[in-house]
Amino acid sequence: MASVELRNVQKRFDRTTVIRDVDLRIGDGEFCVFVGPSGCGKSTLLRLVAGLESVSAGSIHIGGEDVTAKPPRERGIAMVFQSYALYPHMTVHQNIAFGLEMGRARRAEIDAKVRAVAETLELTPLLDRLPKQLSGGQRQRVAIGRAIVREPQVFLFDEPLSNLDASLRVQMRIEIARLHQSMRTTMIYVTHDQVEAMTLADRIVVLNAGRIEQTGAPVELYRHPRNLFVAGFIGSTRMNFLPVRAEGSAAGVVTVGLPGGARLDVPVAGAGARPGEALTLGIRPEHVRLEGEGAALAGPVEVVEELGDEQLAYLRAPDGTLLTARIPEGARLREGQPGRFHLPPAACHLFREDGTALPRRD
Amino acid sequence: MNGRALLARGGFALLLLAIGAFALFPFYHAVVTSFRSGTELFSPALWPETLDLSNYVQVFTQLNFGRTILNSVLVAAAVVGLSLLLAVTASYALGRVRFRGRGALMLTILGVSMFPQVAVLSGMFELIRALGLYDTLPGLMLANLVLTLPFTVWVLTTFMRELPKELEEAAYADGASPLTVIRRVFLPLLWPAMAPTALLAFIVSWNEFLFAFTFTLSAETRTVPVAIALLSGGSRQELPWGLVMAASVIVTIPVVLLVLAFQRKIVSGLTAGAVKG
Repeated sequence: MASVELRNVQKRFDRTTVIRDVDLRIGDGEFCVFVGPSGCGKSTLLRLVAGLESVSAGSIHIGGEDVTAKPPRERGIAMVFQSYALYPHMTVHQNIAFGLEMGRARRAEIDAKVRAVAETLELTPLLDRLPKQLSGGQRQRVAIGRAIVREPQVFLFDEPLSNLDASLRVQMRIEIARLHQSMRTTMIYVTHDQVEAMTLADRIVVLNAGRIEQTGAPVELYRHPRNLFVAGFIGSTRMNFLPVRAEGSAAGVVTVGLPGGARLDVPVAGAGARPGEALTLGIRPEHVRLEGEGAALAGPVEVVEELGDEQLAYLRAPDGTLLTARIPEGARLREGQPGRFHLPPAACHLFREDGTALPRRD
Repeated sequence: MNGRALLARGGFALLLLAIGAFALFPFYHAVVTSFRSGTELFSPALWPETLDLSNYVQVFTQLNFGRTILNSVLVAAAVVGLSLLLAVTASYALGRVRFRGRGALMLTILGVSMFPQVAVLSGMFELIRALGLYDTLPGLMLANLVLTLPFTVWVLTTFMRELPKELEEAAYADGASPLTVIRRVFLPLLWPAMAPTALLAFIVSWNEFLFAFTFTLSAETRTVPVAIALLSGGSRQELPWGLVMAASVIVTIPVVLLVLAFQRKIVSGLTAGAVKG
């Protein structure tokens, strides 16, 4: 058990800077998820913690100890790779035992530990098989077994579920969550799938172009994204963005003019916006209503996607923006017909031109 | 099958037969000749009339051939062992570690193998004498490494690059040191590449003539190819063809056996199942 601390960490490959000044403290026992688009540096950051890459500047501390210059084996970490990376010439038993054999453990002790881990991961009947005789899910469990048998201070997961099919992924996600509950070990988990991030994390770190955009609990990022990038990245269907203009600003309220002429009073915390300032209004598809309070946008409904229990409707706003709404099944919207999307003011986000969010109330 | 296709197949079979005959006839001729002696040697018959083993007996009784074979085996085994040891460690560095001048180094290694043996002969001679290895087996081993290392390093480096990087990283994350990674992870996975390269290195060293001829003097350090070349008959005018052929057949057998043994070891697709797929 240990905390992980990154201090002003930078990483350059030749001349490209991949990680810029990352400062982060992950608490003991915390489940921290690095999330971001591909190429944002999240895997590199994880590999820096693992010691598979060396930092160009800054320092890394695990359990209060500076491990910046130490090789992986002295960092007390265990890592699960996206490709599983099982040793193909070793049986499941040998794969799991490999890490223990690197230490000074005795044979009988190793065997007992391997069997205990295999038991919890339901791998006991497979112990004598080679990796090529296992299914994807089984390989993934072996990879996890190989990590937990070493009882590391910190678990590192590098997109462990992205090679699995959808149903297996959900199942393994639950197993990993259960694992964290029972072990209470610090875990760092890299993914590009924000559903995994939302469901697993105690804390999410959103990365973009080598920088931390925001860190916080999943709900906090969902409710209070600090900028346009985070707002667009977090949420299972992407947030709608509309260009608007501030028309007035009173205490705790900014009045904006929507495309098509309607006005909306959006509640904000703290300072408002200058009248005439160009803003971006954001609203999540699940908050858009077909009727009720708030100003509405009218336009033709272009596509309706049926998801079974609900629908995704796409409406062309007067300024040409395509807006998405998640609406209950059976709503009477028809493709090609005119429709109206209501925007409840309390659910709206406002962003300045530089992308930063106006703080919201609740 | 129509007539045309039949004709094409027949023609192809004939072609294969011709190529096979061309490749195998010299060896066949050697075997047949090794059973002959005296004036029989010059008989144009294609089949052996008698199975005369006197040449074989003579090779071992008169020529101290056992010692010569032992020399060859020692040299070839040492060359194979050293080549593989050096090539595996070198291929790890060349295939896995990023460093400046890696490409240039690879090209140099390849370039070395392009020089004809004669070109390095005199320099090598000076080197071996300076090291005090003239007329010794270690000297010969050192010289033969020059011939085997370039291609063993190249083959293993290419193969090493194909191995998934995550395997190595997983081993590091599991707490292994670089040497352990090579020994426990890479070595077993490199087997399919190492078996044929070892075999090639063995054959090169086993058949090497020029270095062995130049760097050894006494009969005690002679290797097989040199010993065969130095075989002489009862008089200056007589070349003992029967003896030469018997000796050649004897030294070919280990190579053929090795090929057969290694053939089963060359397992492909050992890496299947390591990563996705």
